[in-house]
Amino acid sequence: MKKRDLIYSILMLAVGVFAFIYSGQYNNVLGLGSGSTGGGLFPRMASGGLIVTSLIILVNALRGKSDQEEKESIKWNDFLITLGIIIAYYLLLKPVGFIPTSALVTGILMYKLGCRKWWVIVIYSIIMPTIIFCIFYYGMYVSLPLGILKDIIPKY
Amino acid sequence: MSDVMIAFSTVFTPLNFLLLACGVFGGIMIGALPGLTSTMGVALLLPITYGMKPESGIVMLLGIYCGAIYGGSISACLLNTPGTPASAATTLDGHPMAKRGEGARALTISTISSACGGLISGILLILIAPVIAKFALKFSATEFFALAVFGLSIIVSISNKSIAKGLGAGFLGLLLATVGLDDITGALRFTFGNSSLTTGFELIPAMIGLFAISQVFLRIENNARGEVVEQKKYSVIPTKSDLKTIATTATWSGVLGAFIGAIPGTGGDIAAFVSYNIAKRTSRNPEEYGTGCPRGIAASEAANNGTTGGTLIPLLTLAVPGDSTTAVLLGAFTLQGLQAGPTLFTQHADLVNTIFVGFMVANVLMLILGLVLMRFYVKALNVANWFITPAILILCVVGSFAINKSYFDVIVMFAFGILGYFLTKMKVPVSPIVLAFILGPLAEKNFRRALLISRGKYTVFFTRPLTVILFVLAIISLLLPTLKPLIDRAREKRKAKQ
Repeated sequence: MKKRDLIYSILMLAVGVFAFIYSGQYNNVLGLGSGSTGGGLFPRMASGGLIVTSLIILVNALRGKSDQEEKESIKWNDFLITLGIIIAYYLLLKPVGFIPTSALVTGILMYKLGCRKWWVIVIYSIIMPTIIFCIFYYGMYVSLPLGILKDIIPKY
Repeated sequence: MSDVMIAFSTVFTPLNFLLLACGVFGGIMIGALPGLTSTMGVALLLPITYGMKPESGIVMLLGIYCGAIYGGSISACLLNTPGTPASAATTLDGHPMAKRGEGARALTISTISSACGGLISGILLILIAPVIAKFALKFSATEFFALAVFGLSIIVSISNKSIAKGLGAGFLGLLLATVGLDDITGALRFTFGNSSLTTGFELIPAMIGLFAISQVFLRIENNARGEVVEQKKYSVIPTKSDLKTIATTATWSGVLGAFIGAIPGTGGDIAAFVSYNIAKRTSRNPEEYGTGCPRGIAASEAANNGTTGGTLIPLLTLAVPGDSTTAVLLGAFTLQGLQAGPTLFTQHADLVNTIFVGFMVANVLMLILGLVLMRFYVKALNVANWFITPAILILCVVGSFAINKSYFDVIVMFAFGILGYFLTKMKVPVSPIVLAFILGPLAEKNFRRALLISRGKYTVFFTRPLTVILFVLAIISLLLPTLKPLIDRAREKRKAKQ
């Protein structure tokens, strides 16, 4: 839809303009005078390219040209629920621990995705994160957060 | 000949063969999990080789290396998430093929192509390693910059319908790759006072986010009731038609991968994209690429596994690692009290022969294991969404965290995931962002290095033949999508006149 292209191009244009102006401060760090070797060269090239391509998309969108053949709507309910789940996952990961947090997230996602057998949800939510934890914690020495189970889980 | 027979007998002792097989299998599993790389797999298992004989330990690590580079294609094809950066290009055709119900076929093609690329690079390693090493060491800052530019020109190939959107994504990726400490001046770019951004965005969490987390959003949105695509049955032995289709592509991609792998500082990811681009550009039907084209998978996979032998060339001949995994392998040599380089061939010729034979056997084992296990992998597509989506999410979190034991990497992954979701909704391809992320730093570092060495003279980019050749290839690659329709039209007009 050209409306979506319009929004996308304006956002990218804003990002490009901001980055172009902001990277002006890097050009002469440590007295390397010419812009050819300053730290701002590549950010400016990249943001300049972003500005040009965004303008092309913007002009095409204003002229009614779009490569979006069918409506691809964003289901905001689903998006916000998923966003909430991943934010909660991140916030709880360290204090609560990997296994309990992953089990909770797994259970919620399973229900959201249509699984209605409670015993399946409970068993899978516990077993799957536990197996992954064991493989990574004991098998590969990745120090995943233990959280509330730190006194129960034997350390490697 | 007797040396070769001794090497074979060493590799095929029960212990060594078992270690090699376990290495290949473990490598495939590691590669298939997003977030775990071949470098990580080799590094994690390096310490256990301390108590082993050199031929046992090094051969096992080679098995992990080969298996992991191939393993990335499994999740690339089935879940649209490259297991390793080297398989990022495989998603372009592997996943579309799986989406239309041909997941088994996609995996078979990737397995055959990976083995082909690996075996070809092994043959080149054995026959002409010193020659290739000499060529590879001719690469200086200007050649690296030109190679990166050529690689970036591939963005036009993978931009699908809108080149402007694809290029825009590429420029966005280049911009995001500049975040962090500038190597040359020490400036902190776009960190906004956040110390976690000093090292910039890590490639693996960004890639996992763009591909996998965005898929989690889409799976929840599109498939709430657990609908699955019916997968067509495909024999373990590939069809003659498919073999014929991919044979030439897999062969030259393997050779290309070996040469690119021999250049220190490159790797399977660069080789895969370069090979994919060449395959598409030279194809009679380039519009098939990106829709599930067998040659697209073959080009990417043969090239990325072709680098496994290629990276061993400078390692063994000059003690210069070809990529990050061989840098860790160099550590394995040190652990065993060995010195890689020219003296290895004279003082430990038997070990070198064992490495050659072990490498070839590893690729054969990878082929067998890949084909046999393929039907189990494909079942992942037949399971309900509620079974696989939570597992993908959790593996992504673990994979991102495991790299630096950093929670910040988990945030990066989620942020890029949200970005990837919205870009997908806007019909903006995400592969150019990953490509720019990989090649942007290579391009910038070497561009500025070349100018520093030449004291600001831009003529340095036009005086070295190899650099000029790569620039010309990049220009052709950029202009071909525009020029090809004009050339085809002129040809049709000429035919009509005749």
